[in-house]
Amino acid sequence: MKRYLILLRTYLFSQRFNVCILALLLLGGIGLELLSPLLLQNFIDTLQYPSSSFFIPVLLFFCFTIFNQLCTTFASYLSEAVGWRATNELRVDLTLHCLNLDMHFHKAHTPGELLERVDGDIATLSDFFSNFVFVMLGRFLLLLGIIVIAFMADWRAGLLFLIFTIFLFSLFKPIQKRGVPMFQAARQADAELASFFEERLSSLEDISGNGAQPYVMERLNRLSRRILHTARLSSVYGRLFSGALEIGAKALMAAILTLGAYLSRHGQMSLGTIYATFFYTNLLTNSLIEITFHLDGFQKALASIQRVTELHSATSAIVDGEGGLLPDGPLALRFEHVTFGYAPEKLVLHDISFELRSGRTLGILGRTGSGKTTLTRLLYRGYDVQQGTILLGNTDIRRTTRAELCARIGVVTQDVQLFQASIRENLTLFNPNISDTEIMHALAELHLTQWLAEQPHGLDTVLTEGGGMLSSGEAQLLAFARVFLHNPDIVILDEASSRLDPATERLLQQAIGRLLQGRTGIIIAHHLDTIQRVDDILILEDGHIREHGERHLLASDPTSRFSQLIQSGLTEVIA
Amino acid sequence: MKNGLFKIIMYAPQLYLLNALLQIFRSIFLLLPGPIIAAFFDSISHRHQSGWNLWTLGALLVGAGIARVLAMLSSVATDTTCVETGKALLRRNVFQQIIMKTGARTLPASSGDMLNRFREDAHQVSEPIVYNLMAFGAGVQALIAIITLLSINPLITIVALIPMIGSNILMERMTTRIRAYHRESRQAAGAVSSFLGEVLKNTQAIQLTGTQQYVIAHLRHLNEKRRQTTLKSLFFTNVVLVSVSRNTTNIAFGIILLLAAQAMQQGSFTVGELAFFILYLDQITAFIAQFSIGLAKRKQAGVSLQRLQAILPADVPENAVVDQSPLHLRGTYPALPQPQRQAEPLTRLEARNLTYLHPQSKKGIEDISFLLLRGTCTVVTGRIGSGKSTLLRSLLGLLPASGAIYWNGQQITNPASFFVPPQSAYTPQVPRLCSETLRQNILMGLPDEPERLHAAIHAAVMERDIQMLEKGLETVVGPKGTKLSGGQIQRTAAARMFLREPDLLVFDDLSSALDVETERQLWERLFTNRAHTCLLVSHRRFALQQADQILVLQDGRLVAAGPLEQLLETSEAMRSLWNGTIES
Repeated sequence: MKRYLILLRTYLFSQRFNVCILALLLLGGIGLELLSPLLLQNFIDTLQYPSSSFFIPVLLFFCFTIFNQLCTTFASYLSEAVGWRATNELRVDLTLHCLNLDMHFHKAHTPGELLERVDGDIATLSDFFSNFVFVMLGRFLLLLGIIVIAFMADWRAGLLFLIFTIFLFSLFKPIQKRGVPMFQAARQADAELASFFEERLSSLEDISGNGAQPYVMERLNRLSRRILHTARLSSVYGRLFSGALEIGAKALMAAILTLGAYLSRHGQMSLGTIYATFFYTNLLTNSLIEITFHLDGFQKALASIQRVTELHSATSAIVDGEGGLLPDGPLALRFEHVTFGYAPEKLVLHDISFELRSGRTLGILGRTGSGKTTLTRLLYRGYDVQQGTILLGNTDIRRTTRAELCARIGVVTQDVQLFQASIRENLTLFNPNISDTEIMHALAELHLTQWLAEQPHGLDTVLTEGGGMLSSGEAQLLAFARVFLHNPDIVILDEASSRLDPATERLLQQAIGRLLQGRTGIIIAHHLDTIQRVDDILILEDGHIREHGERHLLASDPTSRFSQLIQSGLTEVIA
Repeated sequence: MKNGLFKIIMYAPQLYLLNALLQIFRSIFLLLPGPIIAAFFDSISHRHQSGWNLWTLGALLVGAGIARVLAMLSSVATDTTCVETGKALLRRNVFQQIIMKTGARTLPASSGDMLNRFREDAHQVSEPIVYNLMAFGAGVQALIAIITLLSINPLITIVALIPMIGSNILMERMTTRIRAYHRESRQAAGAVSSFLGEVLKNTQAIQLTGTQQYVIAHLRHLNEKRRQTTLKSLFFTNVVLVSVSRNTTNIAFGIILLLAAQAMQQGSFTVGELAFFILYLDQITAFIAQFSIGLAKRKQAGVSLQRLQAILPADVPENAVVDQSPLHLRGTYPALPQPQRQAEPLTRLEARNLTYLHPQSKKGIEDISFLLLRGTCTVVTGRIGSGKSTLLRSLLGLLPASGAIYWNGQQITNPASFFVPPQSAYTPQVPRLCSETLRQNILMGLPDEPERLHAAIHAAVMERDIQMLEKGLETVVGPKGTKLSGGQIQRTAAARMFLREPDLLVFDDLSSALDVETERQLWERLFTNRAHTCLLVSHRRFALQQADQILVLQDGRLVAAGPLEQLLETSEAMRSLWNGTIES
């Protein structure tokens, strides 16, 4: 419960003015609702005496109900408004949280699954904010008021009301407790559907080109069946309590009316009072129904809160150090006995030690899976080392913050990540402080000025998702432009040239040259030609350093692994 | 639109009929307490003697409650079944058209937006059907209630019903506006979802450039827009509509009290009858509220149905969204259809005048003709953006190219459905895997035959990697295969292709993420077995040297074709690619 209170405090405090108005409206509504049956009582008792005037109580009753209705409606609107603002804040916070989580986390969760949390679960939570908090609190107060009034009419009636209410609330907890896993299962099935679509929509070419449509459709059908089963179970279960309540309410009514008949025969209760008490039974039941109706949403919200807090409490294994220790300018880097594995018992890198002086460029070679990419990930603290130390300008990178580290390191990976947004936004990643002049400058460095001129709306041209209208090479050039704008001190190129044709790659080599000017660089490439301009060479094999040294020394030593690779006859199109 | 909803009902008519019946019971059982309570009051006020004693009346009241709850629970179970069936049908139909017809074309919307449509819009089309059935049940109940009240006191009944009918007409008029507001808020919601989807997909790019704050600022902006449009729509439906309908009831209630008071003073109306009226009036109001909400929901369903139709591929008729083929929501699943041979094994494949221009960039390929013979290897090469991938996609029908394709001299009219195993298989430039096991990713529905699987893995030079993986073939590859390296993803895709043992292997730059030695092994294994016919995009020297034929593309046109030696002599474009010189 504490979790929910913290959630409420965090996201409602900033809206305290609206919340106060809401509280006033709700209290006003409750007061009017409690008073109206008393007017009815008065009305019916008056009618027992012929020729008395009934006009005033009817008129009052009429005004009360209309005013009450307006209060409740505006309160419900206001609670939605408050709820939306609160969930928007929550959504932003959670997205930011996800954006700050490390790679370990993002490898374990699909974007579709996270979207279901950040968008889907939070949408469910808006019910928690808008309905549960305000409607349910209001109905609880009304409930209390009804019980008090019933006690004032007759203690036996009050006792019946009290017992009924306590009995139902004692039922609620066990029923609700069993419901949560069912709701969670239903939400989980929904989340799986989201990631199913997410992944399949981005692999349409793979599916169509290999005739796998029937297989994919069967997966969808299986998933749909699971969704149907979990949804049906949870929806029926969600109504069990309200069913019990409805039956209980009929029993209460029967009891109250029988009690009323008994008391009236002994002259202890007027017909008007019986009627008012009966009216309160209805009001009590309706409030309980309304509470349980929102409990249905509340149960879903509980499951969602659990999942959202789970996400919120996911922490990065990467802990920021005190920061502010990195010197300015190009940075030297040193690996000292670095050992690392994604799972502790499955090591990817074994005892790696090497040094790269500032301003020099290192080329890393090695088979797929030999740990090249992993090595660079350690450098920008995508992961932290298990043993050993990585020093950047003589500072242990564990003493830096990830933000300052990223500010100093620029990375181009194999997979260029693009947004369905304008070219400008794709290059600046929504940073409004980067001017068009800077962008044009970066594009000119990459000989992309002509390309930009061909785009229908220049920098405002919207790229479709996944860069559908860009060739992979063009997408990669845009990633280079991003790095130019980022202006880092260390540049990491991971297989950056793998999808470029030789001529374009030659173009790019010049740009890389300029990019590396005055910077420390690491280039991973599977092809020897990309390593032309590097100063040092590091060859990895199964996570061990096979060879490390200056390129020209290795190249001129016929016994070196490096020169064997050059001799292996696999020189590529570029000589 | 109405036709669309009707078609969904026709998918499972018995189910919806059962639902309608249960809805009626669920509603009319709510009327049972009315006469019982009236009898209670009459017995208390001694006006009438009903002959029932109080205990019997109490038992009847509880019995009515139990009957109603049972009807309600079974109705809820069929409600969900109906809603989920409808959603599954819509989702399946739209998705099926998309995976059958899209190929390599751009999706009509971002995948976040598509997800939102599959989830929310499918719900907004399917749910109103059940809601309206519920309103129908409530309508039957309201009718019974009105008849009963008329039989007690026609004057009071008619006078009380007039304001209700008036408000209903008023609400009918407001539905256009509801529709517009609703559409606006759905659009804003789609924008938030699709942006969030991309942000969560592109986390790494954002983290590495440290632009979290700017991305979040953009999200805030979209969020705010969604909040405003949603609240506008809510204000209209929740405040205006609800106020009108509730206050109509309040007016009716006031009228009843006034008229009843007079009648009671004259002795022609009892307290029991007043209770009866007030109870039943509540039920009638409930129906009127449901009726108008049902109406609004039907209009909103129209909007959502259009949003689903809007993401269908261009040449698909709109009513495909309510296609009736089975969903297999119960019973056993039918066996998956295995690849069927559609023509004699390949001897020669000819493409004539293939032309495809991307609608946005107007780039693509123009007028390309070539011939592939059985057992040969053809390499497509050319500069970036010269149309290499487009050529492969056009041949395979992944893009709707014009021109003609002949398989053993026979013209292929629908390449998209023809160029699948066992005729051909394909590995795209950036292959994508799904978060299933490695085995499932390679099989993609083919039967699991260890020997064939092993052979395919061997051909893809994947066997050592699989040994290295903790769980081997049972490794779950993570979202989009991210637990594997780029090269492993590419070779998994190649294994997937080899397993299908097609006549024609088509791959787009297979080696781009492979290291030197793995790549050499792959080519060697491929070229030693000359049974395959290959069409591939590459600029690797080794591949070009092995090719029987090279197609050189430049700005979307075929500028030279032939074996390497010949081209190096005759083609300037080939020479410049081979030497990697920059053309100005």
